[in-house]
Amino acid sequence: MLKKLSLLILIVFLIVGVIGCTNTTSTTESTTDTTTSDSMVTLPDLTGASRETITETLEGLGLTIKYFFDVSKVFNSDAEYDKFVKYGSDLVAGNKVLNGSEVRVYTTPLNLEPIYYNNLSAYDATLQLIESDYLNKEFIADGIGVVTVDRYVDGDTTWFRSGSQTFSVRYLGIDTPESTALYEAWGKAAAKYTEDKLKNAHTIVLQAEGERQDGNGRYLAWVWYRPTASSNFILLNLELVELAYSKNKVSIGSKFITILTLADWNASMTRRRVWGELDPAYDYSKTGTQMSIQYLVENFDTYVGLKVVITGTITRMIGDNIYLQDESGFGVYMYAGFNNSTVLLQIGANVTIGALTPTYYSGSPQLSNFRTANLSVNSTDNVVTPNIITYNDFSFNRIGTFVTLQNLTITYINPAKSSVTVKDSSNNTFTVRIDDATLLNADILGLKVGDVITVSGPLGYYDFDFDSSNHASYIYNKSKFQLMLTLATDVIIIE
Amino acid sequence: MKKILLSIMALMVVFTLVGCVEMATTTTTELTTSTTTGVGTTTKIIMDLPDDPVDISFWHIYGADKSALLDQLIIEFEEMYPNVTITSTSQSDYNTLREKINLGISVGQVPTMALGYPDHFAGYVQAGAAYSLNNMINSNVRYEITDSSSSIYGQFVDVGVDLSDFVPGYLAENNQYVGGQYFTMPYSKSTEMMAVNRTVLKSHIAAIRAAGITISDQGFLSHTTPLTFTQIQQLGAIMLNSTAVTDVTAKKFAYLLNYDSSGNMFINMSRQWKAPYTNSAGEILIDNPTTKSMLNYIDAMFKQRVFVLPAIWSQTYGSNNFKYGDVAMTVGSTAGVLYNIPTTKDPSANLKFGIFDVDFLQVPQTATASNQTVTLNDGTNNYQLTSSLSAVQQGPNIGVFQKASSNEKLFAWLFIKHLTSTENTVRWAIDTGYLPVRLSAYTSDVEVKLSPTVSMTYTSFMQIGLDFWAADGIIDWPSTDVRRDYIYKSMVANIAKNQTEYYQYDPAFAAGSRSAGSATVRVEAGFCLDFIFNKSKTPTQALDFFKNQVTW
Repeated sequence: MLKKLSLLILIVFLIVGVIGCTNTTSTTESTTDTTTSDSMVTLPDLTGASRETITETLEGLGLTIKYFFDVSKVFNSDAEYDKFVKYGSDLVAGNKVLNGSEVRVYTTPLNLEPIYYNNLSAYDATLQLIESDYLNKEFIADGIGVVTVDRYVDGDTTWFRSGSQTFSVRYLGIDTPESTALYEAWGKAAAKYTEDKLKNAHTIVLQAEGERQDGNGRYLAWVWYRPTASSNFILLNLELVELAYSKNKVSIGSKFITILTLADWNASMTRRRVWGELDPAYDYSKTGTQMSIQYLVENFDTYVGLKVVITGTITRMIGDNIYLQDESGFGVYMYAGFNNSTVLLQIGANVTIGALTPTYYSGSPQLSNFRTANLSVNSTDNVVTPNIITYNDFSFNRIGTFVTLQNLTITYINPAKSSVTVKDSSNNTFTVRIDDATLLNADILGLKVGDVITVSGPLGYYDFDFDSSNHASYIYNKSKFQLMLTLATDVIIIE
Repeated sequence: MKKILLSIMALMVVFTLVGCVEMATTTTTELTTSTTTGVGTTTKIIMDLPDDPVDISFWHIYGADKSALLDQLIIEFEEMYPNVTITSTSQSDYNTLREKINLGISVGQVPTMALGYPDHFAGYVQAGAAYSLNNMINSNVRYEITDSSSSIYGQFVDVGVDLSDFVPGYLAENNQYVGGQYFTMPYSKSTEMMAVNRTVLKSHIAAIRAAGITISDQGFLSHTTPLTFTQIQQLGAIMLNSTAVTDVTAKKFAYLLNYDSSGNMFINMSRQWKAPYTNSAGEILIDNPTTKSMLNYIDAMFKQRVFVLPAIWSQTYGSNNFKYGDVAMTVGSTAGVLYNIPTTKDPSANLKFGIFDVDFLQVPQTATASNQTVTLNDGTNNYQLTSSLSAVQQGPNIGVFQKASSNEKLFAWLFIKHLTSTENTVRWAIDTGYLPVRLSAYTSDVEVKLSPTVSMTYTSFMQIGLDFWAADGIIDWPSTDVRRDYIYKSMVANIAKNQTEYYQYDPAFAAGSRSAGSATVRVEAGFCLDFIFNKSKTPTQALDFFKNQVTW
């Protein structure tokens, strides 16, 4: 009797429980059973269909759709965007689902459909730059004016020239991925896009808004250009957001806040470029390929933009930046960037550092992307002896190595005392550079014009006009090599 | 027979609990057993974890530096729950993040979860878009991990969380919404601290001691007792130059104390003066005599160059000009500690005092304890007030959106638990400079791996700063001792911990029919001080303008 009573209570309770749970989320039921039923819908084969077609088809079958993106592969052509990839929840075409249920659908990223930057007047004519806005004005003095490009840096920073002044400009309202000291996905692509647009521009105008300079002394500006003398000005900052090369970073109070927010929203909905698409030129590995410094230097172009693991002994330092050399005698410079200061990087330490990205800086090969989290110290207090070389030995493969040059006569010292011009016995001239971060200068070292000196230090290279995109055809000029003087004990005044 | 009845009762308990709480359910969910754990009566319902594919979109604002660790934490979470994919997207900054979520709410496209400040979430709550986490927090469900590909296969995962382990001030901020609901949990928290130029302080030791302020031989002021504004004024008399130009030879500054955020300055000083500001009901209370007195005092301090705002240098933050020797002290976020340290990366020509030593202190207060009768004098007027210790607590919280499915909500919540676990909040704190959200972080013996060859506990991390102070800054640690890398971060972490007891939060509310939302009020509070600072408005005019901007 008690058993029956217990069973009855249990059954009643189970029924109540099930009814009580009906407000929980219903899940899609799937089956491959081929029997038909009015309450069941067969999922169609949507291979190659666009979202518009997918939506039309599935909603026509009485289904609701929840879209997801599949960004697991690199897309090589525009034809690959906005395409059906698969159903979610392990469903496939031919499966039956409940009529009215929600179906997950994965597609490739969508096509970008910019509507603002190339027709700004249609959105808000008051935002459009016109000639009368800048005529007879100069950017530094008046906050608006025509400029020319002096040097390209990355997607959101360029050196411009206005009259006799040359200055760095950080673009307002955007923040493209890094491509210099740090190396991020889509950084190089953004840099190239900016460069392409400005190179082919007929007129470039900078327009200030709010604060004139950032904490690094760079001017802040909206960057307008027009491809021809008769075309409307295009706001490059907006174009970069709309084409998903940058996310929106506009400040409160800017007159462009609404349009940039809308452009950012539209671009982000496509999942293109910075919004999650894989960058075909970026190395997504967490550590990188392990190799010797010699192999790296001899195959540098192959690894630009990728990630490498390097082991070497620190020969010299400039601030937190280091020169590494291994037993092969080859060396390389590593830029530590900001906020990566660590006492573990010391002269004589043998270290292994992962996830470094080879890149060029003014012609000098360097490793960027350093993070202390990727640093291992293998041993300390190792000694590397410099190789004695001459001017004739200057070559790409020597850049970064620890060397000594003897009997150099000082011919000039610049006013800042940071650059010492020397000539060797064959009258070959080059520069001994004393970086600000060494806390040294020519005066502190007691150097004077006419002194004959022997100097040890890493070999560097600096060409202001170096263009990394043309590196394959670039010819290294011996006069642009520099000997980096980093320690007072590295210079001997002979006479 | 008793066993049968017991079984029935157990099942009743199970069903009651499961039925009353919105839980993720799948066709594979089974009830397997029930058990009683720990001391007391906590009953855990053990269930199988849903194994349907779950996609979670997570919006934040972190750049490459911080997202490297966040990405690692996501990878670890996905290894724990192989059916879950988390797509994290940086929206650049908080303004963009909020704007896009508001846009998303209007068109029905929001992420599963996002970071946000309390006033952001107040808006989402008002729009009905935020999901209350109370059910998750209080859940007694325990999942058994039966997926053999999981990194925690065979283990159990509790849905609920012990709130008593979270820093109370952070919880209070997250518990301020309607009905005492938690729509968010604390995540990246910071406070304000004061960086000081110790090298120059040290050169004025005799005068500082003569003023009755305790200072060590190496120029350290107290790290446990905050300076008062009266003492700040005394330091001004000692360390300010007669003109607004730093005199390097005399070691006197153009300005004494910079406040990075004029909004925080207004709000926190209002608390310190016990001047009404706003309340959680959304009332704007700034029109009162104490606030007026406070603004008059601040105005006088601006004019005497005791206080300064970064606008004087056309900057958003004062850290560069602190390094450059234009100002002796600067109040800013604990998350920005390293920006205050002069290094060889700075242009040497700009560093008027070269590479000097930096110390960190608590933010100045009206008195060293609350509820003291205080008289502040600006040189002309006396201001009577009752003190209240206060330090800003800031930084985003993390929440889930209502539109997510049950499974998405469940795993989003488990991801929040993962991010805020003792170990991970420590990793986040040491790596980013934010503060741990759990009290157990301060006692945990879990070693956090900072690089392939360096690990430390949060306790040992905190001890670095304490040892440095105990040695009066004279340490004989080897030049390669990794503790040297963490001295400044550790000092600031200790300062923050010392301020924890008097954290106060800014009540969050959405715009109403007669007044602005708390985010707008904060912005206008900053403008109020900006106007006084740039002399475009008197304190009375600035307050009137403020009032008109936020009430109608």
